[in-house]
Amino acid sequence: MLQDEIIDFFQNVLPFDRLSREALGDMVSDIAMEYYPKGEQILKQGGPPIEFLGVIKRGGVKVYQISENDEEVVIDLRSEGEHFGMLSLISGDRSRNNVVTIEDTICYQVPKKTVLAVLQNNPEVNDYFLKSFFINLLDKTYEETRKAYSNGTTGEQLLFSTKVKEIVRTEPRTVSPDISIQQAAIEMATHKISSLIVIDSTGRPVGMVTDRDFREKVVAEAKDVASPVKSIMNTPLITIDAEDNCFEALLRMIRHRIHHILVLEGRKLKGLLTNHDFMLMQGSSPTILVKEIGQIESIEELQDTAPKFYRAVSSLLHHGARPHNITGLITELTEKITNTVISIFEKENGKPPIDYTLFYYGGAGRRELTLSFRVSMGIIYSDGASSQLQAEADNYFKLLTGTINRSMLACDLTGKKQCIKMDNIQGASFWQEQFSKWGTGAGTGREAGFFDMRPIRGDHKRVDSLRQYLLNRAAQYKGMMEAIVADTLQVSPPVAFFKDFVVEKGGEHKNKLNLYDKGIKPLADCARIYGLEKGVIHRSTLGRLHELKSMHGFRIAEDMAQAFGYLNGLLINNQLRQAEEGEKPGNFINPDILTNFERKTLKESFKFIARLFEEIEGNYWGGKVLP
Amino acid sequence: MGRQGAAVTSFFKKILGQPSAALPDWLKSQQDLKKSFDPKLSIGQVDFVAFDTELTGLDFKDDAIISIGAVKLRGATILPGKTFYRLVKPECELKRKSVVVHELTHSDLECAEDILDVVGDFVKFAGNAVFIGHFVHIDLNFVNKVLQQNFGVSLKNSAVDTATLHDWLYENDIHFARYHKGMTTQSDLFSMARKYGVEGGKSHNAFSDAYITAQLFQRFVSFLPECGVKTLKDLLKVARP
Repeated sequence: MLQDEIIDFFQNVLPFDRLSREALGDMVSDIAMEYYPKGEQILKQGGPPIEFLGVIKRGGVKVYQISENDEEVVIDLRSEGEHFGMLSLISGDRSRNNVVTIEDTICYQVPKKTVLAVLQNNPEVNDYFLKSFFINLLDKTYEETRKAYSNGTTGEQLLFSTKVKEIVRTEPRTVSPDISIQQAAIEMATHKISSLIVIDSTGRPVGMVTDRDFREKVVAEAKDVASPVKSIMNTPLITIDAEDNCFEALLRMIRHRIHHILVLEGRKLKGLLTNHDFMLMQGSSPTILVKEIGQIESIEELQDTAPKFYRAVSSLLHHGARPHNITGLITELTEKITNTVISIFEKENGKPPIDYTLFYYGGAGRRELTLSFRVSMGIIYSDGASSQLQAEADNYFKLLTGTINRSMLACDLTGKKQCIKMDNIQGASFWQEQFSKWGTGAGTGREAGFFDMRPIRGDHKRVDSLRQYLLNRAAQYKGMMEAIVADTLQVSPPVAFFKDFVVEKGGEHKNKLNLYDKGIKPLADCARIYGLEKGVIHRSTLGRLHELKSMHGFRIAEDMAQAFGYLNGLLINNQLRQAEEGEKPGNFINPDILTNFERKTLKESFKFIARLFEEIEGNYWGGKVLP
Repeated sequence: MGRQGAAVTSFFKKILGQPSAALPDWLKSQQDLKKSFDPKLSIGQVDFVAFDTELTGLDFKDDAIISIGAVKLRGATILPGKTFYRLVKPECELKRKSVVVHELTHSDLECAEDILDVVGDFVKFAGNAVFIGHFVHIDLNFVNKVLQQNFGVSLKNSAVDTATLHDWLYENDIHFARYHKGMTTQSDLFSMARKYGVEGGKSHNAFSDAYITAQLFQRFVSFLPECGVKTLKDLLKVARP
């Protein structure tokens, strides 16, 4: 009956799958089942230790820490069949992480004593728990290290190159070996700490005592508390020299299955290193990349820029950056490159015959580029030049366009796509005329991305006033909005899932899903439609959504922002994975490599977009877009 | 319920013996329950038993219990190791309709037991817990019918009703309605389970229904602290059957 169902469930949960059905039956007899609504905090960092192991039956939780700079560092997202609280449960002193539900969550709670009994009786399960934390960490950091070394860049501060003394922070409490057990206990109680280092008269560490020693060697054996502390201390000590590299320290901790390691300078105690310290290690810094791009003097030097992008993004991700921080950075760096290229061009070809402004539009305009770099640009030049001057200018722009397109290709940042087309180089009045035709039928060159145009180089006013013209026209002319809405609704979000997904049926991207076209772009388009309706000036999707919510009480905007962030995060992670495997990062994702949790969230996001579309369609044909 | 003085026909007296003459121990201790009842307990400290019965029909006079399923909770925490599920040997003919719904036929019930044994064990299982049920008065009436016929007494446990609790939350807690995007118009157990994302068992029987009821209760309780409903007394006020 119910117990059988629960046993079936645990047979698919690592590492309980290694237990026999009988053993699971025993385990299940005293478990509990708890429900936590979305957003509930189950564990608090530094708070009391957990009394059970939480195994997620349905839903998901976020495991994170608050760093010393008050930043949230996400350690993991756990979903169905995964568990949380093991570290806190084993250590028994305090909770290491915050655990918060990110959706309505049902958990089985396995009581602490049951977990400990299972660990004791099943060495292979024990091994799993002791290893997993480190191995996961190691895999991540090792990958980073490997990449850094195979590409040979500078500015990395990583496991191999960082010395232990550079990251050791904790100054542990020390006592002499001859004080009594009781004095030692008082010392620990006063300073609210769980361990003490015992040092001899020369300052050399000789042993360590922890909470556990007091339980196991003093209380349980009714030992006299007046005995010297050295009679219960642990020896020998596992230590590492301050001059050794961090990788060696991590290896030694893994080998001895400990979470703390003593750092010695010569023979003297320098400090204590914990696994937490490794997580706080800094990765490669994007600021170095910005500096490098600024110093480039020829287009040839732009080659191999892409891998540097990947590393910078990877490092940011590992340090908990949000997707919009990352798309912002990618766009910023792309702008830097564009400007550098044009400066180089001007050195060789002189100043332009007539004034112009270069702008980005679409994703680049919104500062939402991902590692697939679909940059779209255009140029607005001054009207009223003489025909001779205009001919000169046409020639100049043709050369400039060629150079920009070639450079972007050289950086390996755009693939085959041209980022600037000759059609997009026009005088201000021509652009305006073009926009005035929008909405009168097909083939008017309508592209909603132009609403997001943003000046990059040259007089900003040209772009700003053209954009204002477009915004005004959208507000006044219903036919234009109708056309934009109709364009948006062309895409159908993949909501009918075969097994779990609808993917491309053939071609190069067979069995893959275009995350940008089917998910991210529709969300950006919807945000733009709502924004235009309410006269929101912001270009960025999140900016639009934020204003819709705060100024117009538009409740759905928050969900839209979350889905948008999630999809971008998923896409960028996937792009990094593609880059690691030597592929060119694109917008397609192979659903097979996603975890259950990711798949489920993705599915929900598409369903959400489909609902948005329905709403827009419904409200739109009533003559209004907003409800 | 309060049916202490319900008339017991001479026919029943003849075949079942004198009522209340000698209450068995499990029922005797049960009758003193009110003395140990502490309404000031916070909800998290209360022992609950979510239960459901399957009936041959809803006619109090003619119909009877086919099975009883139950699961214990401590506060809002379900204890899946503490469950109860028993089948009753039918006394009256199984009605066609309920055979269709429950897929229980006479042959399935061959291993079933006497109604008094099942109810007795159920009362022992429940102990002094507070009952949880969906339209719980119906189930309680049928359990009490058995106790009345045999001993002339009724259960003394308090009870909360998930249907009542749901309606109250909808009326009184704006977060609840918003969180669940409106209220379900149907208040039967399965519509509610669907609405609030509660998974039922694979089969439809008294146990899986009791389990669903327990999970609905779990969901609803998470909204109570903000509404000022904190103690058992508060809960009984808003979720009275």
